[in-house]
Amino acid sequence: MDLSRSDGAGGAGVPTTAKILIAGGFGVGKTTLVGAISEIRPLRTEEPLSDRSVGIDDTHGVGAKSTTTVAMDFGRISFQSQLVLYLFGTPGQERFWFMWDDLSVGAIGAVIMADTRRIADCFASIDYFERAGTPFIIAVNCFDGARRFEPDDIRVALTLNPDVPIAMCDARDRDSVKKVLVVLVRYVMSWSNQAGRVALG
Amino acid sequence: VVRVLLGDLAEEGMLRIVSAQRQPVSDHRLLRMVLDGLESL
Repeated sequence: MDLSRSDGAGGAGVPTTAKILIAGGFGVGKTTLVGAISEIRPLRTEEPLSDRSVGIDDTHGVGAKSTTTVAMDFGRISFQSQLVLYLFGTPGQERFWFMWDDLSVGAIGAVIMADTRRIADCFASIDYFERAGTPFIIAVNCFDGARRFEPDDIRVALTLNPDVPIAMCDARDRDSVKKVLVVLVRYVMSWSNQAGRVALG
Repeated sequence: VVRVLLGDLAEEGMLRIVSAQRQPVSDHRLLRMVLDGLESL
């Protein structure tokens, strides 16, 4: 088994790999999203929520949640024999943020998932990727029964730059997840064009 | 667990680990390949 970095320069027999991060707050649907599109049974590090997380993990709005990711979720999509896309879901709670630095190395970009019932939960992810200079988009997971908001309202609530895409999605639905990833990659392409122009200017 | 597993496999020569670049990837050829791949799903 060989591992190739995300530089598009895979040698003969070594697939070129790319990596996308799935971030966001606790219980927003990161694990579900990775599982919806991964061609393999995702590697999950789910552990039951115990009484020791009472008062630490805010389960308001996700009362039915009984497990949580403690390290990462990992999924894979192979497009051709020479290209593999890896999806890494980051753990949502603050005490696992040390994982993010490792997980984000070499990533194309990030999808930050948002739940309109707990919109503030994605501020930490936004801050992190803004500081890291990693391009990201917001994917609003439209939970059943959750109030719907217009993308512009969400942009204002999150104080996002006007160019950051906001996609509405259903993390359980493969086509919906695919569209989110397409939005991200298109954005990264335009983002890197812009960055190149700035550097040249 | 993953680090230990990868470390053991690398020590046995069963895999080769290549350092990833620290900066966000901006290789347009790679991004185009990923985009085409996603759209073909």
